[in-house]
Amino acid sequence: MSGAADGRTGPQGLPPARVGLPPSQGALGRGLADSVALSLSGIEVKYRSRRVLQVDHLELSAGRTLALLGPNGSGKSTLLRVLALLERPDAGSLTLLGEAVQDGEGRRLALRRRTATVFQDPLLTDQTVFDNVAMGLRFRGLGGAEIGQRVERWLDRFGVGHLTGRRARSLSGGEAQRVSLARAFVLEPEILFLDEPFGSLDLQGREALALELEVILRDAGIATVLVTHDRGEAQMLADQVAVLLDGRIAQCAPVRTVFERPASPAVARFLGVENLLPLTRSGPDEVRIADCPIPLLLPSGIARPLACLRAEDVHLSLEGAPATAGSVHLSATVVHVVPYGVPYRVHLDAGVPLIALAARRTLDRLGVAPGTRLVASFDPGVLHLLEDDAPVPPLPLAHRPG
Amino acid sequence: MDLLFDGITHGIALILRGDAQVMEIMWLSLRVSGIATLVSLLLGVPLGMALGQSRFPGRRLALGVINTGMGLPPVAVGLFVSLFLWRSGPLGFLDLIYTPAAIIVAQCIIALPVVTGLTAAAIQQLDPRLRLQLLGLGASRLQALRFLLREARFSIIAAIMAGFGAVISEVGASMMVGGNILHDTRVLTTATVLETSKGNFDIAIALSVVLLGLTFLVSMLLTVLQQRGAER
Repeated sequence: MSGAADGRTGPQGLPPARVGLPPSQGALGRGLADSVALSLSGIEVKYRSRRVLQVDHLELSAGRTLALLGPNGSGKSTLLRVLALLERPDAGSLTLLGEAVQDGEGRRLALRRRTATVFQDPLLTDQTVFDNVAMGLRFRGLGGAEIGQRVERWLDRFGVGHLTGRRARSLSGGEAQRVSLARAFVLEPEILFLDEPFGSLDLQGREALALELEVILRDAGIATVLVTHDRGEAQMLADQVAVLLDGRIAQCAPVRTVFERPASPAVARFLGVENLLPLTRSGPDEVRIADCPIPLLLPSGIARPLACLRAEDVHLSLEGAPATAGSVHLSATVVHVVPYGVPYRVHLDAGVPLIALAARRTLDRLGVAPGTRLVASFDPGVLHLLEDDAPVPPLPLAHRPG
Repeated sequence: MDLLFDGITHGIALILRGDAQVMEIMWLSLRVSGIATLVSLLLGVPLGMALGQSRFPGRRLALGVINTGMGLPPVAVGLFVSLFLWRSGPLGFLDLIYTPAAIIVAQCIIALPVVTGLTAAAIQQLDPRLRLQLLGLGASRLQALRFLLREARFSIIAAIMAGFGAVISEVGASMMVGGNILHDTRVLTTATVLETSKGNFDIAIALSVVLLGLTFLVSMLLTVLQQRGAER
């Protein structure tokens, strides 16, 4: 899942291919990875006295990619605008590239010019593609041959070099978004802010561009903040993930940790964990799911435990089939079968509602139909335990990363 | 019918001959209305951009007042400007009444709401995120403003045409604050009214043909400017 992200945590696998940056900036794995590109504390944003964002602490290391992941309206775009110095927070402090951000517009502009922002829609101006990509360089007072070379290089890098003379208005959505990305990368920023950069594309265009961007980001080694509501994009592009729910960071951790060990049921639900199974204590050292005892030691701190279980970890077999040693076996009845992508989702009643993923062929072999009795088994080692938050309404989301 | 025909032929002859009186009146009109349009542009475009972009309490009211002003009756403007500029009025010491400058002032008041209102509408039509995008690429506030203006240029040139059209064609204000004095404050519209009332239809026709032609030429010039770069 996160092989790409893992690959980026070490200096290996970085082809010296065109980096397009002065050596001091493209220096992932040269010690810069440890320095902090951006950090904030106590940021608050209010709209008409309603607090839409409250972030106590957040940090991004140089050369790394941080995904701000959350549903619509969770405040992730607001946070990005604050970080990109496009919006002033109502409280809190911000440090960018080693410099504490002040109020004065002059200093803010100077800092902003070491960054670049890309939005969901390409927002190109009514000029040629070349002029659009040259725009930021001209804002910085650059001119002449240097502009030409850099613009052409980055247009090529995003596969749109042939469009340089075209009017921006005549581009397709995918072309326009590539131009928009080139327009930011040509600035060779030290921090890059991407706000749903694939949001305006169809699924195919999205995947293709995300794959390319992954390579380009890894080569360039620019510290990047990526706003997205798409879990796949976060997994593919990010090293760190901050999950935003209702204007707060519910969890901030390395990408694998977030996906494998969500910090709260709310995070687990947002990340699409299919099964959150309530555990009941049946003895001093025994817990059960429905009526089935689970060989599991329950940490003492959890009063109402919930077990996260990914549907892909649930194995289906016919009743009476030989049991796998060490697995938990639940008797279950098929409720319905939903085609969902390549594997099907099988909704079961195992005393608790349970969802499993299975290939079409498996389902045919098992003769699965609504009402079929099956055994659903899983390795108890994959369970991730959480405190249930259901009936107690908004708990303060205190589950900060360790 | 003869009257009309004779009037038109005489009128055309006057223009072709370059009649001194007609030419003088035409240049004054062009100068006065041109300056009035220019001044209303210098004030109205920044004002319109501010109104179109910013959010402040009372903004809707301000826009409502501006939009009402787009239909300001020139006669009413003429009346109030005269009251202010009359020798006994509050601004009488400026000694402006019955001068071209007085006409310019009145015409500015007529054109300003047109330019401001249309500029505000043009800016509001732009994607509000465009400004953020420009800032996010490192634009200073001024650079961002210049780009926004550039993006709205078609509508803003249309605003200029509307403003010029309003002042070159108005008669009430020019008459009241200018006084229609020969060689001094007589413009195309006031002269047309006067000559018509005197029964000099040939001159009146010549003047109105000149007025139409002038309006057409200026609008054409601006249209060419507007459409340059629109195609391709």
